[in-house]
Amino acid sequence: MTEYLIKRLIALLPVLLIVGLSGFLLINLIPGDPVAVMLGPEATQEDVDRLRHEMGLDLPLFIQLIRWYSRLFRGDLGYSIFLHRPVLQAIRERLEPTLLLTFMSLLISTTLGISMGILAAVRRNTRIDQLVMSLSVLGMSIPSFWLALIFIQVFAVHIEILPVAGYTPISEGIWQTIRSLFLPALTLGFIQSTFIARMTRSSMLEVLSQDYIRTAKAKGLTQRKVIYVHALRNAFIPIATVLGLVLGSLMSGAVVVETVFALPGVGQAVLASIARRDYPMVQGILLFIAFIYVFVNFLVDILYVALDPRVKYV
Amino acid sequence: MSNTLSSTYQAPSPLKKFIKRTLRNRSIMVGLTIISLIILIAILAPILTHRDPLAIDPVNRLTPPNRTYLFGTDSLGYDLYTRTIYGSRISLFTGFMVTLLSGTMGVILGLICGYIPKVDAIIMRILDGLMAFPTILLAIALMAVLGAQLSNVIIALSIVYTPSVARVVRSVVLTIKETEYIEAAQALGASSTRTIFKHILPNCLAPIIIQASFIFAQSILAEAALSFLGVGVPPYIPTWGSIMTDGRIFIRVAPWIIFFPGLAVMISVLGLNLLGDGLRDVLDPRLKSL
Repeated sequence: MTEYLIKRLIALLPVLLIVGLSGFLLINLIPGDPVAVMLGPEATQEDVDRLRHEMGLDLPLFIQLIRWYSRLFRGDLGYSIFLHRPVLQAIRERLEPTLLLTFMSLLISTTLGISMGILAAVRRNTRIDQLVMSLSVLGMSIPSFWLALIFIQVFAVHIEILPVAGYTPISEGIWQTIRSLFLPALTLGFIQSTFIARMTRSSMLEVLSQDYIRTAKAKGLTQRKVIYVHALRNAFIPIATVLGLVLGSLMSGAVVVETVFALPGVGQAVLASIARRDYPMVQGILLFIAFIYVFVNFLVDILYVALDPRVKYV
Repeated sequence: MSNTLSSTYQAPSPLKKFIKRTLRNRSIMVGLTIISLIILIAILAPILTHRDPLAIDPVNRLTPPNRTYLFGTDSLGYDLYTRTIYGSRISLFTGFMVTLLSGTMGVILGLICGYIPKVDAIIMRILDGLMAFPTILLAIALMAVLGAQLSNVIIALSIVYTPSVARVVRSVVLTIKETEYIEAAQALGASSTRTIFKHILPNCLAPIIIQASFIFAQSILAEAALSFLGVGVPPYIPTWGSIMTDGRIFIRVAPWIIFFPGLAVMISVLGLNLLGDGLRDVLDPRLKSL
């Protein structure tokens, strides 16, 4: 296991380097002079030169790249001249709603998705199975902001049990926070749950056709025990691997949903930064999320091996 | 007796079998019907509405749906019905172009990776790096750099979806490369080009077609999201996404701005997803349980 861990960690290195390179290229791909674009048309040539020097953009490209990597290595994501603070600090200030939203939607999507998947697999080729499968195609096709609109109209405008938008920070009470995040989390959670339901269904169907399930049934175990103890544990392995993917979609989806529900999170910060042409901030957030995504997928890979002793450490 | 049997019995051609199975697949037929209807709407746009999608009616801003304005108007007084109808043209075009571009690039990269092990490691690492970014977020970042334009949306989304095609093609190539008939073809002196285009590529076709239908669906959704967020197609070009840009600000006062164009997005994406699901069943029976 230790050997496998080390191997996986080494394999992580090139991906992280390339993720870092993408972030570096982002600024260099901007057509024209990024500094002039950032400062706007009123800026004098002196201002532009000074900022360019401060950002180190007047150095040779290769030196810039080395400096970029050494900064990343120290966990420095740059400085936002618009927000007058380091990018990492700005991200940290915006992290709470995004993390909580992602966590709540992950909770909703896995609970909903796995139960729908099991139900469909156990009641294969019945109305219930058809309903779950239809819902899953529908879920793949709904734009998140459209579903958000429907939820807002139903739960916030018509029955008025949940707030229309806005965020209550955790410092003002956890229940209020959950209330303010419920609709956005339900929006993202429902859409992703359909994907998990599909995976669970197909994985369960495969496991349920195995010999050891027949043995379990033959020795007189209750259906409940067969499904939850014998089948689900094995079916969970492929499900665990898609959770990494789901997390990526949730973080992407958070950008859209945060905008609709006016949540002051990282997603909104990206869009605001693009509008301000605050490129260090855009770059920083992108890298931050990519690093989390890579790290989570790494954990999922480890989990995969931990869950299934049959998987060889390759 | 056996003589007459062998002369009358003819195995059904693979094409005939494929068509028969396609016609019998409900998913494909429903999907095709929906897509055909949307394409028809896109073609018949000038007949379905007599208004100009770029004309504004400043007196009737934020009008709820009524008899004159079937889908209502937005904050500038654009007629949302007309813009949804015309939006289908550019939205479908965007989806098609993204599918075509990412498909082509993905196939080329996938073939190279699967066939030349030396390049494989390098290209795959780069693609892994690209895939380390959540899709919409990568598209947003690319749009921030490229600028909000229709052509840039197509470029950004093509870059985002290329790795997934390349991966699929690569894995198929790697499997097929080891089969006996490829060995046989090479033993008979077939050149690499001939092996790739005559023997390997046709076998990749099924997964490519399935993947393409999903990318088409995904890119319509992604374009809508990008433009809705204001980093995609600028609002004066009517796409399903761009006509909803306004709806973000007026979501509580004028929900119809998002409702109808969003519905159009959902229906067409549903059609494409159904088509993709059905095609997967027909073309690749091994994956049927998925």
